[in-house]
Amino acid sequence: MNNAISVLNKFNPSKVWNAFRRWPIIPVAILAILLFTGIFAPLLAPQSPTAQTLKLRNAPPSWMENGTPGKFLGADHVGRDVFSRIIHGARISLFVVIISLTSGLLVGSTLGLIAGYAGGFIDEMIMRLVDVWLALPFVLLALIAAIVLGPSVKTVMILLALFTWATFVRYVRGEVLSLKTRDYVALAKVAGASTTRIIIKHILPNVLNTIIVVATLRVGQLILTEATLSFVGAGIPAPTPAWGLMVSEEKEYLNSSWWGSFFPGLAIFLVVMSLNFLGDWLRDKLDPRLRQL
Amino acid sequence: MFAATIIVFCMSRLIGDPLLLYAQAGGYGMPPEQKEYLRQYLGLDKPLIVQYFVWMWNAMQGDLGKSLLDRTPVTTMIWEKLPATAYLAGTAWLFAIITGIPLGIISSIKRGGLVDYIARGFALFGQALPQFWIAIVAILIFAVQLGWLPAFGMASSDDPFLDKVKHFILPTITLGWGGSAIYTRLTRSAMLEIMDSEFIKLARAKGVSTTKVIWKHAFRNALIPPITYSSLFLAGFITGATVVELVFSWPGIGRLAIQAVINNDFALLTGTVLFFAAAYLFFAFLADVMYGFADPRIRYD
Repeated sequence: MNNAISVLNKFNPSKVWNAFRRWPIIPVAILAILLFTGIFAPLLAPQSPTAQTLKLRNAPPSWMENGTPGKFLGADHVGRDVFSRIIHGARISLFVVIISLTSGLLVGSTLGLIAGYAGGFIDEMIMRLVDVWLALPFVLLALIAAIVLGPSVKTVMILLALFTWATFVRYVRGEVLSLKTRDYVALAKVAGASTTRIIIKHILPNVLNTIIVVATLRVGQLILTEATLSFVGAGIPAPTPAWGLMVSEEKEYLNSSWWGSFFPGLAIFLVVMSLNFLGDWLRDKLDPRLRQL
Repeated sequence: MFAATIIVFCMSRLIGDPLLLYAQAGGYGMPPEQKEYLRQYLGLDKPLIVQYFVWMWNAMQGDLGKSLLDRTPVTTMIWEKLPATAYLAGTAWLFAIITGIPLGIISSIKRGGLVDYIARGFALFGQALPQFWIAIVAILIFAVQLGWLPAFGMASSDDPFLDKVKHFILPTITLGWGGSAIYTRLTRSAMLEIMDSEFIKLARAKGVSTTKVIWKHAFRNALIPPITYSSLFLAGFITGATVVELVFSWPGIGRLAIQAVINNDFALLTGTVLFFAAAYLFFAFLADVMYGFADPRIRYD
């Protein structure tokens, strides 16, 4: 309490500005809002995200001239509330991204650890696989997969996990390669520690920072990719309120009712920007060597 | 190594492309005998592995098979669409370099100043805005509202030059912005790092003028990361152009591939995917070579 008062007493704008520069306050706030809305979407959304009201087709936002009361961000081409759909979209995005990132991270980091530590033939094989994987045109593969497997939230999660694992292999392997020549690893080996023990107890803790930083910087990329997939029709199927899908569905009505695709795009932008900011900040704090990521 | 990767790639792709896809599409209201005949005619009755080797054998001789839709050779179709994609990727690449590197340098010199903030804001937007969204908002503003630029397509070759340029502006910026953002960041961080190093301090201490320090000492070294990445960027633009081509109805290979997906035209699809992968691998290889040139200190062992 005393603290708060003394802080208030010393209030001056340039200090606030400095705090904003030093700490990622705005990005964290935006991400907190995203997390909150994502978890409590059904409670927060004023209307159902899928309920159609044909009378209110393309209704303008309530704050515009001749706007529709109750439609904070307007309605889309079948009269669904854009605001409610964005809130529910946050939930879908979070869900998809968290699951695909976790699986991609686990697979990628494990392979990276193995490749880096084992070296030789195994390393060569894994890295060739990664190279080939990165060379494939991902959006096209996603389209094929969407047609073969049928577009669904599950397909999107699998695709995104497939999209992201290779990056982890690269960075983790690089780290492991430099870590494994350290003296303390050699010492552990001399002391008779098993390979598993060395990897888990001595190498993994030191790679964790890299993994965290790469993961934060990847999340934004994943959200963008998810949106892109939904946009080209290889992503989340129609009635589900996904941001990329909303942009795509409303693009024909852009001229008359721009709110339908403008706001979901804005949501994507804000979230991705915050994630990038946070990732940069984390990188500078935790792992300055990854500067050129 | 180069060839090995392509083979692995082909394998993985053919596994992901079941025969069913085609049989289903061609199977509508077709008598079984005719279907059987078509199957044989297209070589689809053979085991997948045989098909693969046949395809690979032909591909090595420069024959990627024929489109299932209209029996045009796939190579011809790709050659027809190649210029559009190449021009688009090329201009986007130039745009990224021309805007990204100077912005990175200026913002690192005037660190903390107005230009720095503008440059970083530009990079921020470029990295976080979804391409398709930039595309449609740009169409809305510049094509629909202001009417300055055409919304889609590429001008034909007999149109006046200005017209052609106009068609390029929106897709180029949409595609190049993200890359430009990365260039800005790369150049900026490289410059900052180098301006901090000992030999710059020495040069300053010797009394070399600031301009000379920046251009002669720092700039050259700061260019190493952007140059190394530039070839990878070009590759990224070629494969990444698909979405932009889709939104702007650009007659390129990306759109061709998407049509192939929609039509279940797997010969064409394999061909385009192979093209993209080959292009990527080629430029990745080039990046490795360039790395050695840009920075002779690098030695491969």
